[in-house]
Amino acid sequence: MSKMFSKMGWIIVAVLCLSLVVFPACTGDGGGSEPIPYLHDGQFIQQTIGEVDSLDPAWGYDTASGEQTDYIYDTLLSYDQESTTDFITGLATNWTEVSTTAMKFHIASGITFHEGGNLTAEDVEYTFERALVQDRAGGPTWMFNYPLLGKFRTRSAGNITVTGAEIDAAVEIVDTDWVQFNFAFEFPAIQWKQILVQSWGSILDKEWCVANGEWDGDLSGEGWKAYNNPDKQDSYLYNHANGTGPWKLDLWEAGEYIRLIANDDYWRGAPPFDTVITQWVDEWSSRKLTLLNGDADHVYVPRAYIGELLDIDDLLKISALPELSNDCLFFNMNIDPESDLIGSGMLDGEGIPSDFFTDIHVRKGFSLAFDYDTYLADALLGEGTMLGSPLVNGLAGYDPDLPKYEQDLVEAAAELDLAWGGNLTSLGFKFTMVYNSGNIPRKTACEILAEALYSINPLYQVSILPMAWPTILDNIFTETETSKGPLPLFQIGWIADYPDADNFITPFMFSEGDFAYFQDYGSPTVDAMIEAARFMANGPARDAAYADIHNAYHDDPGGIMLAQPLGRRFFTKYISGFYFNPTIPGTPGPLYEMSKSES
Amino acid sequence: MELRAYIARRLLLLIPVLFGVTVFIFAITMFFSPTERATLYVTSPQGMRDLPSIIEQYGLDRPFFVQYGTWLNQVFHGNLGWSNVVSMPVGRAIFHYLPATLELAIFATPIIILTGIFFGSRAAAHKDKPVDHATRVVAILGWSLPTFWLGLLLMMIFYGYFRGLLPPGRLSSAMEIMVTSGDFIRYTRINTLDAILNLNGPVLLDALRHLILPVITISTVNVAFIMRLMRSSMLESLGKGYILTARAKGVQEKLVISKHARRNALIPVITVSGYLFAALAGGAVITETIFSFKGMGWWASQSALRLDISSVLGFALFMAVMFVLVNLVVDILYTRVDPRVRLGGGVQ
Amino acid sequence: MKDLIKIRDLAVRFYTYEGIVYAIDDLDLEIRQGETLGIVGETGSGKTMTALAILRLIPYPGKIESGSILFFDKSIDQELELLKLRDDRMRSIRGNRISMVFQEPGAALNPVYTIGDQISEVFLLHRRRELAQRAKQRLDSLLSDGNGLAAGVKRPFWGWQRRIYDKIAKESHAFEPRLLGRLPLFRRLLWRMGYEAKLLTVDMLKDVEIPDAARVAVQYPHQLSGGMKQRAVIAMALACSPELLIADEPTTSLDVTIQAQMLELFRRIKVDKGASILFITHNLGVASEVCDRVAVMYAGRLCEVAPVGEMFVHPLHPYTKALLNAVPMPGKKLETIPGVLADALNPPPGCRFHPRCPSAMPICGQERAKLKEVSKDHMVACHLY
Ligand SMILES: Nc1ncnc2c1ncn2[C@@H]1O[C@H](COP(=O)(O)OP(=O)(O)O)[C@@H](O)[C@H]1O
Ligand code: SF4
Ligand SMILES: [Mg+2]
Repeated sequence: MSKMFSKMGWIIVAVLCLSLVVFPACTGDGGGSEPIPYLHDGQFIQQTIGEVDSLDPAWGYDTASGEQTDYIYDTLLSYDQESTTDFITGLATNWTEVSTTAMKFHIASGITFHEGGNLTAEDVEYTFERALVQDRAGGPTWMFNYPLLGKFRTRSAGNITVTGAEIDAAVEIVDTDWVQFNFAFEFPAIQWKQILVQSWGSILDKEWCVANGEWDGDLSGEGWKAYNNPDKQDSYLYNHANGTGPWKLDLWEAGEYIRLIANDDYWRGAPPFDTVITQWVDEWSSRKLTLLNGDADHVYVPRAYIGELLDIDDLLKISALPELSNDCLFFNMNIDPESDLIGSGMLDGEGIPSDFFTDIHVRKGFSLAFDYDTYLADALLGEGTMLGSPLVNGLAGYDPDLPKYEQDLVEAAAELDLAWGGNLTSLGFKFTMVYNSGNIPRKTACEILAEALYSINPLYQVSILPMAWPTILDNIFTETETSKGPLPLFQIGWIADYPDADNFITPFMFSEGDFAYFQDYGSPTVDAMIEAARFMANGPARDAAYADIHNAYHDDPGGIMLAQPLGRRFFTKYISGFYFNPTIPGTPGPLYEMSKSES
Repeated sequence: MELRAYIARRLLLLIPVLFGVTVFIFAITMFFSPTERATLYVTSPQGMRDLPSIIEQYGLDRPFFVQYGTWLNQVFHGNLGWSNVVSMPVGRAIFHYLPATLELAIFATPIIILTGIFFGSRAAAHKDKPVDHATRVVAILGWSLPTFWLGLLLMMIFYGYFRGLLPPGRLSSAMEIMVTSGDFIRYTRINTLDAILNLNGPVLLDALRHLILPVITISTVNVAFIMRLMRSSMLESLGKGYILTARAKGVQEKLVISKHARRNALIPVITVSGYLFAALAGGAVITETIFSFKGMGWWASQSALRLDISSVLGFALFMAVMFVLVNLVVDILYTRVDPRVRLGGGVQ
Repeated sequence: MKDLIKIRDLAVRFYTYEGIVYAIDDLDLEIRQGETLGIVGETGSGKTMTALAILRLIPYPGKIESGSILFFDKSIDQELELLKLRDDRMRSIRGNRISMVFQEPGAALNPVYTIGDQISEVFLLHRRRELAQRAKQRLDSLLSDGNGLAAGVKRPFWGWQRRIYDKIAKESHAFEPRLLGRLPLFRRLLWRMGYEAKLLTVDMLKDVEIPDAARVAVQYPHQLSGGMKQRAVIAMALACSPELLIADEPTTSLDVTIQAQMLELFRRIKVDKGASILFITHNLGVASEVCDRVAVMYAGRLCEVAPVGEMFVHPLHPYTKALLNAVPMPGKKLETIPGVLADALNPPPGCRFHPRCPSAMPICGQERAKLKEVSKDHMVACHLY
């Protein structure tokens, strides 16, 4: 008896040791040399991260929600393939600019919603009025509010600041099957179309919405105000969907997957996939193996793991896609004096004063000290484009030949010598930078800057601290009576709402902009330049205006512009039809135009 | 004490426990600023400028007792709040994620306990012999193996190397479509059980195929614990006078161990097994995440990471109830194993 | 008449991390048939180890190093070398022909089984054939007396059971019943043997003067008083009418009145059952009440063996004398033995008592004294004699 069990014990030990040996062997080739089988015919299965927040088009403001909304709903018009400025018809068959402050769209007839309703102009009017009525905090509808109502939000300090009549007047049915948008000021048609084409422009079925307890479309009394800024769960639409799009919502198992099935009566023709399944899988190894086993057609690949797939033959690999996003290390010109990240809070070599970055020599010096090449190589694995201003490649007004900073330690030293009346060199400084824990590229950026500064002068000391993302957000988007938040420098990125230069310039450079405001950055002259360029028609004049704005950022940097990342996509080789349009949310691309076949 | 009265008393005890737990957790979350907690509702940098109005909307800057009172009032009205990370009410989220976790726990707990008891008593019976050393080495290895490493290793071997053999997830997508179609009734959402109730063989096999690796992963990590407890408890029991009596009576060594020593040695193992089950029912975060076997652990960890306070509180309430119930079951089981124990009276 | 047990040159050692413990060193001792032999000595002198050596139950890391223990088997008129017996044969002696009562009745009983279960176990281990025989007889009477429908239905079943019991009665480990005993449901068929064992158990409990024996049989140890527990343990030891009953300090943990009853019980057992008793105690007074002969041990060695009267009137060994002086008796001043018990790890050379001995001589520290018969039946190991 004892002999038998002692044998068993040793066998277990042996198996364990063996597995230690097998493990590296298995990971070594990962089964990559074997062909990927063709499975799940007629289905598109993808594995990604990032849960859908809401399927309500007026609510969703994240790419995961936008992507699913796009599959289920249609918008009035669409981009023509890769272009971000040319459009093709959608639910609207035609559109015209009525005046510089109004635009109308002719609504197609004979199109039905998944639940059977007919598309009418009333549905379109309802959709946009509902968005204005709802206007949830933190949501995308500011893009409608601003041109249509002249203000970013319908509320101020908790009180509703617009009237039902204003909303009613903003969107009107004209000539029975036309819907007219009346702008609060002269608004360029192209930007309005760029806004309408995204998921928040998805058209709802009014009758269906009302029947399910949504706002009834009445703007005459006070009743509509109850629908302003609701909680997510108060809306029927957050987990129910009834669009005109190529796929219908079948099942959304929160946290696990969302499954769509084909709308065979789709007005453009039956879609290429019977089923579209998006599974949320947090573990990269699991996603990778699923792709290599043919159980998924497409998976989300974090940049750090790209190398694991490059040698695998059976994959469709697409690279160098200029995503409309950037990352920036912002200077805070008015640091909270109470901050414990700025040492002594004085220019005594043991800290920095709260207005440290107001000195342009400091900002220029930092911008010159940063090692952009190393950042590109280490944080983005070489896949990115250097930027000289918030403008990114893919936007009208972007020009790669405009000046941008490159590392020059000598010049950087010279700039810093000039800073603070020439005292900085002898006094030095100390402060702390933070990055969100686990974000290696952002940590790398901090280290690169810290090392460069230290190499210029050992008295230039920057320490680095990880912090939870919510805490960082809290510390960025905060202000006191007299100052902004406690972070001396902060890193955050911007993703396009719609592909217009202003959507990037305003947050970064307009003094009331999303980031600029919390840096205390901006000047009346630059504000005027931005406002002038904002609504100009695209063309050489606007390009010139943005070149000036670019140069203004270069001369008076508000932050160290890091880079615009270049994206990659990986599909099994059975998928075809992908093209890149940076406005398409999610990673699969134009799914309706793609297909899957064994050959 | 009468069984029913005892159960009633223990359940009454739940009320202060739940109250204490929620106050405690609520108090902890108050260390996060209103803005930090508001970021839960913001999904893009563009939304940040609305943080103040979100704080106002959800009353995140009101005094502690006002916020807690609001929450409590809502709970008394049968509403545990909204779990924003998974876009569903907290109550529903518990019922949504519990089945997956329970399925793992139901399969893993017996495996853990039985192998733990078996190898633990073997090791004790052959103290300082090779089998004992081997068992202890394996136990320590299993105990110290990082769960994610073991999980990944198993997945790479059984899904990567043996292609597609034991896939991650709870069901393959074809079976998932089958169980969510009209003909299949999801009584419990525990797939194996539902498959049996629906007399659906393919779903049962598919569900079992997906269960193997996660069950092995959590079992390996936890079995060492029971094994070591069983070994020491068994050694203690083997040193007792009644063992010598049994041997002096002429009882075979096998029976000395299995009849006289093991039953006594089981007593501490029962408690730990109860807590083990309760803990497993609370989810195994890493296992659930690696194998996309999303259950309570995954939900709770996501909620905690995103500061989804309603969800965290809901989870805590669930765990507290779970532990109290398990405690109750353990106490009742005790009286079955150890005649000296009386309900509510401890050892006589 | 042959001695029941003859111990020769017994050495027991413990191999511990600190070193080798010489728990018993070259012990020679015999237990005669029908006699009560007392072993006295301070705690740690090796009394229990001597008893356990006879049962071959020396606990790990101890080992019987050398020597021989002969057990006279009356039925075959032969002496068995216990130390060389096969394990299963040794097991069939334990609890059957040699049984033991331990010092702590509380610890000796398994808390999770009833008294009845624990005593029945002895019968089920050693009296299978007898139990099967009794079960068979009961079935026989059922088969002949059973009337009516129920009996009619059960009759074939009873017949089958009878056949199985018959097999066991003929050969206690016959194949078919052994197989049945391993199958979960069929195992229940053998319940009648358990039932017979329960009946015998109740008789046994009555025999050791337990009132309300039937009720006690279904109680758990913690429900009984210390005295009752010890009676139950004794009943368990006597169940199979052993030829040798070893009692290791059976009264030490009991209070005085119970002690007196217990000694009375042992005296009765000796008379009624004719068994030999090895009575271990550290109390000379107790020994004087029940024993025929007394052996005195010190630090793993025997000092003196003598009939009880002789021992108390003419103690020879200085250690025995010291022990007798230490016995609390009315009207006598209590003396304690100076010094401490010899360290078993590093025992003193020569006579182990010499560091404490008032009569120690130079030779005592060098040479061990052999056990000598000084007068009839009176042996002593001391250089004085
Ligand atoms: N487990 C053990 N490990 C080491 N030595 C032991 C052990 N058990 C007993 N001994 C040794 O055996 C000697 C005799 O013990 P024992 O027979 O129990 O004494 P007694 O019964 O006379 O009180 C003790 O002095 C001790 O040194
Ligand atoms: S041998 Fe010597 S030391 Fe030992 S008891 Fe006799 S006299 Fe004392
Ligand atoms: Mg003893």
